[in-house]
Amino acid sequence: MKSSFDIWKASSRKIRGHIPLSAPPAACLVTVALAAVLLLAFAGCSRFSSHRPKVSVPIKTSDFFIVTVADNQDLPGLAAKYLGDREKWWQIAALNNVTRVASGDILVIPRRDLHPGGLTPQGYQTVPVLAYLKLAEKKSGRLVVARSVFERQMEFLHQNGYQPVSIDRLVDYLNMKRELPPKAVVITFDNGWRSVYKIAYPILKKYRFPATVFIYTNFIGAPKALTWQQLREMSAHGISIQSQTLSLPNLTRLAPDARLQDHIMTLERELGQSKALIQKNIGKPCNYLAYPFGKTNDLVIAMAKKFGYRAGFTLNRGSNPFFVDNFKIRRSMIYGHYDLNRFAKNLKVFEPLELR
Amino acid sequence: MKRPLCLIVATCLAWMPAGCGSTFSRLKASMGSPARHWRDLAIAKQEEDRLGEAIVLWQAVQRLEPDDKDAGKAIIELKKTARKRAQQHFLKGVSAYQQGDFARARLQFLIALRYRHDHRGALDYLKNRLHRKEQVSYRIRKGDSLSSIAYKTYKDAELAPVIAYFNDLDPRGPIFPGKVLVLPTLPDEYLKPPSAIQQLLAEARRKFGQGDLAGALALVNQIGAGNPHYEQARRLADKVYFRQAVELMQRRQFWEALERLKRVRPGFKGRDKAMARARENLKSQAKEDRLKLARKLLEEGAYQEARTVVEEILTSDPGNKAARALMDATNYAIANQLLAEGKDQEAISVLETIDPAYEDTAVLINDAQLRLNAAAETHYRNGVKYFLNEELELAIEQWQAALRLNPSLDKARRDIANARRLLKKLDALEKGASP
Repeated sequence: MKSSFDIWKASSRKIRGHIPLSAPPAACLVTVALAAVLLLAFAGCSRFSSHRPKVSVPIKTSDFFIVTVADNQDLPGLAAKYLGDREKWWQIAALNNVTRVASGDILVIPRRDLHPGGLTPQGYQTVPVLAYLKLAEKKSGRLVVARSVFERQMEFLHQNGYQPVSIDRLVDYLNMKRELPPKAVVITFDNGWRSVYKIAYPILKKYRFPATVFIYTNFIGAPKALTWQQLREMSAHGISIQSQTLSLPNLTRLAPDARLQDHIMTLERELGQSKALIQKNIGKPCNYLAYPFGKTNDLVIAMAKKFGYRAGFTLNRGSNPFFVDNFKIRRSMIYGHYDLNRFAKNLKVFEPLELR
Repeated sequence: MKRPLCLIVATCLAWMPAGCGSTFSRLKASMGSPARHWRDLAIAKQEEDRLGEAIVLWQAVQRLEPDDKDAGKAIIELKKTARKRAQQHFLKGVSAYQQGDFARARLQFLIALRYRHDHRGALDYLKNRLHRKEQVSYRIRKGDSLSSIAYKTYKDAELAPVIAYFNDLDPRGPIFPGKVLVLPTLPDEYLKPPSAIQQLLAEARRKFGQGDLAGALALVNQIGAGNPHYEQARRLADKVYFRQAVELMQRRQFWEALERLKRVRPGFKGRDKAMARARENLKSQAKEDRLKLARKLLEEGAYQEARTVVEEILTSDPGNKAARALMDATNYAIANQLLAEGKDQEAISVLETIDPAYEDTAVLINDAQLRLNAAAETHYRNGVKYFLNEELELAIEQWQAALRLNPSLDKARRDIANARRLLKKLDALEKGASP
């Protein structure tokens, strides 16, 4: 398919080629009028190319690209080509006030994030983090989500434009380093139950949804638990494996009559050894901690920082603005009895607030 | 002439819908030139207060139209405005923060960051200073030691190894002035109390161990006055209140016990059960008080009033044995009173509601019944006398009286029937004799 600019060039040649210089004045006038009509129609129809741009595109500056949309190119394709990330298509759409593009359109593609933190004059973005525990083939319980329920929830996300993002991207967003799609959501699983591999993983793969599994490493390899092999396989396919300590204790509870120093040693073992084990077995960094039972306090956070964790996840329900404490990130537990309405209530992606 | 004309028209008609029909209207609105389109878009974004986007669009305009003076001017103006507004809102935020109005401070910092997302000050407030800190920095001064820093920070020199641990220092090694240490914020429950409080607590525990609950409580309250959230003192207070409640319950002072139990914090082992027990006892105690009242009324001879009170108790608690026994005693007294008044029949009615085994109830019923039989026999004889005197109506009245006193007196029933038959015959004869 030719761009409108190419068509314009071709039409010009054609017109020039068919008007005889020696034509009588009346005929010449009609021809000129028709040519004018044609040019006007052309001007009205051409997006930006009724006059040829003074410079040829693409143009690259430190702040943006100016590009002409090629045949069969869409917004994600442009984002992939120019920004190196298909998921940044919405940034192009937002700046140019378009929802889709056609061949020949000339667009400005911003090379820098224009809305870090998802801040707009009308409010700010919030990112829901969903937490699942166990899944089962059929029955749902309070903490067990049935396969069909989970599948419907993922389908709901897909059909309603929610974009699951990795935990790394979430934390970059929290640090104002990177924007997220407007309907970004994070999917997590706790403990390391085998049902995550058997039930959730194929469904996540089907939708190409990234997710995170927080494991407590003493559980790995136990009956009904994930194995390191399964974790490695999932890790190779977009599932991040992170820590939920060694043995899943309540980290905030001091054992009766225990000295603070003993408690610190316990925390060191739980946070340090689990991180080291995951890195050794998975071969990727373990930077995030889900607090067992979602419980944390200042000492636990200080220890998590000491051991190099970049963020900590609670089980306090709610979505996360960029300015949430990185070590008190909220997560909403999804229970087995939730219907889609109840599920959707945990997907708040924007907080309206007059910001001007 | 016709051929090229047709060609032009055909080309035009063919191209218009095929070339860009779907985008016709929006492209028309764009007025043709990308620079002009972006200029309009930039102005629209400016009006929406989306200055960052407007700047990029103006930059694109400037890139395509380097001679466009408006673009250059707009970029400078917008950047200046964004910087100015960001700083204004940042300062407002700092002021709100200093006044302790953290919600307003957060709003102002968010606006500052929206205008300039690289505003480090606003970001620092939003990400760090507006959150509770789990660690603070401390610059080592001349003369400091880890122990002295631990004491200054946590009021406990023994926590020096914790500081060493968090700063990867040798606990016994030297420290150097100027170095910045990280001091974790330790939750209160992890910290040793100041020594004065410790002494008070130890004394309170000793008193508690000796059973001096009031003394222990006084000391715990003394600690609580200055440190209301001091966990160990709170725990001891719970224990004291609970023990007091148990002792009060043993003395059957359930109201007072319940009051003490209410002061014990929820979750204390045994609290809920003890409260339930106290409430149950309070209910029983209320019944007991009513029983006491009934007994007193009975002693004073106010039998009907006593019976009313006991009936109330039995209505709410039909199985209450004490109330049932008191009811028998009350009815027994009432029956005796009736017997004394010669109201044997009423007395029997009352006596029949009493357990026959109670006192001499059976004997009383028997005696009363004998008296009633004797009276019935008297009425019967009187009836016979009237019969013999041919005063049949009077005879029937007497026999009926006898039957009321002794329903098993069959001869009275037979004689009544006989007398009525005679009366009927006499009546017929009188009617036949009349003209």
